[in-house]
Amino acid sequence: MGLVVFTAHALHGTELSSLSLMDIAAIPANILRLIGEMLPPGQVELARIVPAILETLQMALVGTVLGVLVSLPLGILAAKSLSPNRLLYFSARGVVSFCRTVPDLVWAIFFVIIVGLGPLAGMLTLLVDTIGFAGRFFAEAFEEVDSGPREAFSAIGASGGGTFFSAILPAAAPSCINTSMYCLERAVQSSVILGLVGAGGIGMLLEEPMVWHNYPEATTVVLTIFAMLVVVEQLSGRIRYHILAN
Amino acid sequence: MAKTTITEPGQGGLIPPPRLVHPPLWQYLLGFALFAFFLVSLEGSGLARLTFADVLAIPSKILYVLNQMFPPSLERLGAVSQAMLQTLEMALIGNLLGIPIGLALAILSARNLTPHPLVYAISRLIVTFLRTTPSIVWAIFLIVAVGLGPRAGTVTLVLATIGFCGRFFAEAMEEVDPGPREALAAMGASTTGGIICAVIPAAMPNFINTALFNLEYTTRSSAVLGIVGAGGIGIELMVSIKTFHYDEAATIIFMVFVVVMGVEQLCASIRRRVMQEG
Repeated sequence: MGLVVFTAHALHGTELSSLSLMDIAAIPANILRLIGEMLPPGQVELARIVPAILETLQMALVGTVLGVLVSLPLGILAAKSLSPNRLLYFSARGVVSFCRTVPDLVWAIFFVIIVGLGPLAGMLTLLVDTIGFAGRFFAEAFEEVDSGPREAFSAIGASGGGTFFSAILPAAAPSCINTSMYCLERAVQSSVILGLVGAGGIGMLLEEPMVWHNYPEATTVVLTIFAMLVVVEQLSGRIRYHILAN
Repeated sequence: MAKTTITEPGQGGLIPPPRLVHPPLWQYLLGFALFAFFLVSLEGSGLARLTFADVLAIPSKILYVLNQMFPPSLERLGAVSQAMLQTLEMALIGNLLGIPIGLALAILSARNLTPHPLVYAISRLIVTFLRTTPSIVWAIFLIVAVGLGPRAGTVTLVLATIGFCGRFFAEAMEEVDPGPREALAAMGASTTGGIICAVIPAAMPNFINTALFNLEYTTRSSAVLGIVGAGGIGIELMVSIKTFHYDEAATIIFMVFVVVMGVEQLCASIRRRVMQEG
């Protein structure tokens, strides 16, 4: 019941209910006009697009790798079954949640203020993004591991670190690899928009034509982004499949 | 990979562990090339260009920003809450409208349900295109089509939902056990009947999981759509940062944090209940 009322209010709040028939009739024309302006795709010099793609991929790769490295210890602290004490557990959980729930564009703006314009700000954003995502799923993966081998190891007097590396990490590895590959995909995807706030990558190329309403050029950039993301998705799917099959 | 030896009861004796097989040369080379690219990327991402003095300056800059952010300003709490509500509403409507369309497209793009390979290819392409194009880019285009404001944001989230649910709904339906559907078809049920009575019920827990995840995801992205003028709290955030009102930005960021956490907790509890029933 409450949901229905909220939905009704939401229809009003999103200004969908105030759409008049005239407005709706105008939408197809607007879209057609926009498509007309976007086509044919304009020319963007290769000398600008190739380095931008490379920068995007590099930001994503470094951000993900460093992020995964930070997420592993954070994931241990944030896993209920492994955390040394409750205070560490809650603070690790809090850090991971905070990294995840603050939108990446906000992080990007923050890092642009701290380290200046450029790919470094973007890379740090992706690092934080990865911590928020991988930290959560690593912790869940560690929690789901069968506790038998771990108990066996500690029963024969293995240290905490030894137990982790020989009992928990191997069991959680497939899930962790899966999460990491997904993080890489996500990082490439979000690194695309970071350029809009000046944090490096191919988004920078998008901002200029958008501001100047140069839609043909924007179309080219969007199609390039699309192609890049599809390739990355396919590639990471392939790699995931190979690693998990072994 | 060396595996531990197991003695099977009744068989007696040890099964020799599989030997570690050396990966072929090209795999070593590929690994090496990837590592080299990573090292080059350290340079490309600007990390290697950081001087020691830069690094030393970072803590003081962070302190400066944090100092500006605290205490958070509550001056415009009313307007900000209003914008936050709009953000949530955009996400909700985006899901309610996007999920049915996503389901329809998913049926067309599920390998085992599609009426024709051509339909499969086209609908798959549409879903991929909707999913991979970042929502901010959609928002920018839609502002031109439907004007500034929450409408553009809502439609953006509808498209994002179609892209996300379209893919994962299709995967869920492909994984469904074909038995019940074949049984219905053998009894002379129509294709539509088979999908509605056999495939969708079987994939339902998976659907609900995907839809809830999508709700979390769209709530998060609807918080930033305002940055380009597509409604919601993003515009408040952008303005407060551009005008250096970091104390106001802190309030907004905190509010987004609380709301997104709330939605995540809600989704987690719904998910737990659905999984228990199922």
